[in-house]
Amino acid sequence: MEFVKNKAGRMVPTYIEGIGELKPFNGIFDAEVAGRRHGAINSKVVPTDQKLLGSIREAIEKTGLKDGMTVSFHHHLRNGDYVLMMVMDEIANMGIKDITICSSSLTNAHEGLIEHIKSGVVTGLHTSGLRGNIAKEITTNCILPKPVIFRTHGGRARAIESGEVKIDVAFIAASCCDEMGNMNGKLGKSAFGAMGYPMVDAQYADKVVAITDNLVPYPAYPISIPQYLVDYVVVVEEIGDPSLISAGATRVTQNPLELLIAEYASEVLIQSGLVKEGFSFQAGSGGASLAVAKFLRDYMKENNIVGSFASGGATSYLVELLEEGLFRTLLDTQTFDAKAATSFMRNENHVEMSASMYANPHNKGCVANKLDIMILSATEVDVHYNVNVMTASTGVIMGAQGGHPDTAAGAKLTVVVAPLMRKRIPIVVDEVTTVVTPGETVDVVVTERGIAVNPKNAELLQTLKKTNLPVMTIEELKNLAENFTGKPEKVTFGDKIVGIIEYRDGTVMDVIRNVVK
Amino acid sequence: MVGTAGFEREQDCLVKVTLKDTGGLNIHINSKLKLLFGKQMLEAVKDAANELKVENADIEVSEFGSLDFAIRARVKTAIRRARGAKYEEA
Amino acid sequence: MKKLRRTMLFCPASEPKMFYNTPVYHPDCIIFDLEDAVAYAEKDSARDLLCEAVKTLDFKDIEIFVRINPLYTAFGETDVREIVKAGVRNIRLPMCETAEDVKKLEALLTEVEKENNIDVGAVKVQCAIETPKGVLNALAIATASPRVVSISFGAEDYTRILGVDRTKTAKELAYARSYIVLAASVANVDAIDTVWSDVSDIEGFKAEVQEAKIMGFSGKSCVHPAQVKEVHKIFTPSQEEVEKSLRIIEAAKEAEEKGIGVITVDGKMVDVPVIQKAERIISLAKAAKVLK
Repeated sequence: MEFVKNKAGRMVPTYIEGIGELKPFNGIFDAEVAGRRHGAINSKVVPTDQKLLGSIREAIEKTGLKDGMTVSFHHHLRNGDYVLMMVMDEIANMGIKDITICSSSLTNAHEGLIEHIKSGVVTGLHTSGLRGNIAKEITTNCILPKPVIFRTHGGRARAIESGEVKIDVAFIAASCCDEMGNMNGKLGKSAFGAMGYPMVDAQYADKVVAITDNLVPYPAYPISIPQYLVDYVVVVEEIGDPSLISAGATRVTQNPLELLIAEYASEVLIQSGLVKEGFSFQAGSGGASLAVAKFLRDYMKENNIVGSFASGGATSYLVELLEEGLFRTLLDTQTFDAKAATSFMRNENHVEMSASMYANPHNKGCVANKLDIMILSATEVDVHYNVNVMTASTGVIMGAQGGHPDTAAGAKLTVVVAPLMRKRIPIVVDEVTTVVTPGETVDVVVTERGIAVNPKNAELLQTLKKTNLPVMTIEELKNLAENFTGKPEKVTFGDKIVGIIEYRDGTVMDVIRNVVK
Repeated sequence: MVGTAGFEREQDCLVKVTLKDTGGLNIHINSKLKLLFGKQMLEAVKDAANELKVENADIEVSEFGSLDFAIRARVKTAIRRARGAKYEEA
Repeated sequence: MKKLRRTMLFCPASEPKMFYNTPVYHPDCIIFDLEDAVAYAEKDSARDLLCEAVKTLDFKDIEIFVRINPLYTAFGETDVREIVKAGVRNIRLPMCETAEDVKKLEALLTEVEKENNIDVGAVKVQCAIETPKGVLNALAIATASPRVVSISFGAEDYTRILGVDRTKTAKELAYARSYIVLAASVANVDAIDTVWSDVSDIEGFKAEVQEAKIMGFSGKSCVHPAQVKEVHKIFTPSQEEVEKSLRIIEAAKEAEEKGIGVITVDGKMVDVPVIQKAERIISLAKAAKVLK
């Protein structure tokens, strides 16, 4: 296999059997766009046609799903999803094999896939992330015949719209749907909020199957995905487990360490001068990330600042900020908790957006481009400010790209918040195990013991040095961590590539190799 | 003579020391982080044993992300307990 | 200028992660607790953890105290021997009731220092006064030894022995607290106020800290990182106070250089206590980083 060094300093392959030619990452906005958007096959539905089918099996038969095809799912039902496994189990029962799954991500609810991978039903995986036993099986036992393709939220939308990934059948779970296929995720016993990911699938897949546990009289409203994109509708008992789809309302952490990190981070944001009337903001859904929102809220209230929008990944905490009038709008591609999901119906300023609008780098402008401030977490950060959210320092896959690289590239100020060490593992290292977000898009790293500013932000660095914040170089931060933990040994990997980290523009940022026992 | 010290919880370790008459130091470490810090963990156990002048013992360590100083401390406590260090209630 | 002890954050010595996580909150002092926070069965392991931590970790400019077990228990003496050998230089002696209690510790410390080639007198003592008898003997305790650098008040045992409940207005503690401040002042040591254990009641805590400051306490015992921040805020001098103090110190320096005996600033006489207060205010201002 031929390898070249990409612009992030990683050796990446130029061709992989079963996947094709690969381009190395060459700068965050370097990739050229050419050609036209992919188009799904044409269809015709007359007034007497019946979309409502009796079973998932019937839907699979009618879509003409065959060996070697690509199916897609979304993960808005998170750990409570029943749909992906129901469909894949049926596909396996019908003797169909060699299927590629293009899912927005995979969760603990999808461990059953291990069986289907081992039996050859599933031979390809495209996802934002992997966790738990599937991740372990893939990284240690190499059960998949070709590498997993890991994409960002924006990158997945790009790949689907450009035709790089051609979805044959999209299976879309909806908590509210009518007999013609108008659907949403905002109403129903299994409500989950925005349908940001499948909004893209529905437009570009050849066949679209809606799967719902809540068939409502025609026409369903609101309409997140319209009927004219949908081929069939299947009603099942339950699309998921509501208690696992989303937990209760998101609370800001009480952990004093996380609060300290958040306090430092909000100080950095305020000093940057970006927290002013009309600014925009996005943060992660828990821990120190979300706590930053709390400190910012206090500051905004004290100074009568109203932001233009908050985006995400919407949590009920962001909804509270919206309801308090601290932001004019909440742009939501994925809703994290039940309370936030109900906000859509109450508040017209809580706006659903597709993953393409959110983060696709190859359309006519995505929301991430308008972000002022982005708060990210990390499993590792290195001295070049590259960020890893994908693998643990031991090499096991346990995370997802999500919208990290998308928002980091778009935002004016990208701040990573993380504890300096997790248990004995230093977060700041010489070289991250896997590069997910390149250092050129990361501006500040904030830990409870020190803050490092990417040298390209000379002005911000000078401003922060004048404060009482513990500013230091990233090398000093790394040494501080190693003073506690000791310097970790380098992990040796096998020579099988089990995963490709695809940057949002389709180029290869890094690869994941198998872990040797 | 056997002594145990420590707990099976995050950022701590559980140490079991069996003092012997011969055979040298047999150290066995259980840890998810052995790949990254195995050498340092071993050194820490040896240091503690040497400081307390223990030359022959089986030492079993189950660790959960603890730093070296905690490993050293727990090993020392386990050794002392194995030696039968008793306390009287006030 | 005297060492600042605005906050003394209690930290059980029983869990490894407490040793390296507690310093990030930057209290002026940390009290690693071998006493009440540690079960009998783990007194030995906590001591070992503490000794290893003190030998390995860098606490920078945070002053480290250790609350040992009382000397009349099976653990107290071993605590002292081991921790001093490991490098601890500040000991908090619980349940001080008489000057004798202090002298007993002093004798032990002198012996341990000599055995370990440490300067005699290097290890300092904070006396925890937690009983009515202790309160009445506060002055004797505070002056019992040059090693004593601070006395602190503990309300839990005090109220229990008196047979009263702790109330939000703390009337039941008024005399004890005032007396401790007095004794500390005469003995020229720090007075540290008692712990506020209702961590969720931040407003109540802040009110009590304000009181403590007004009464003349040098600092407050804390049990939670969130409390540390609040205490530091309350003990941070105002702009006005800082400016006035700078002028006082300037005037005093000038007077000394010119050999003038009595000075006035803003029409008020400035004598030694006034200058010392001004110095303390500047020291507080620097610690709060409102002055470089």
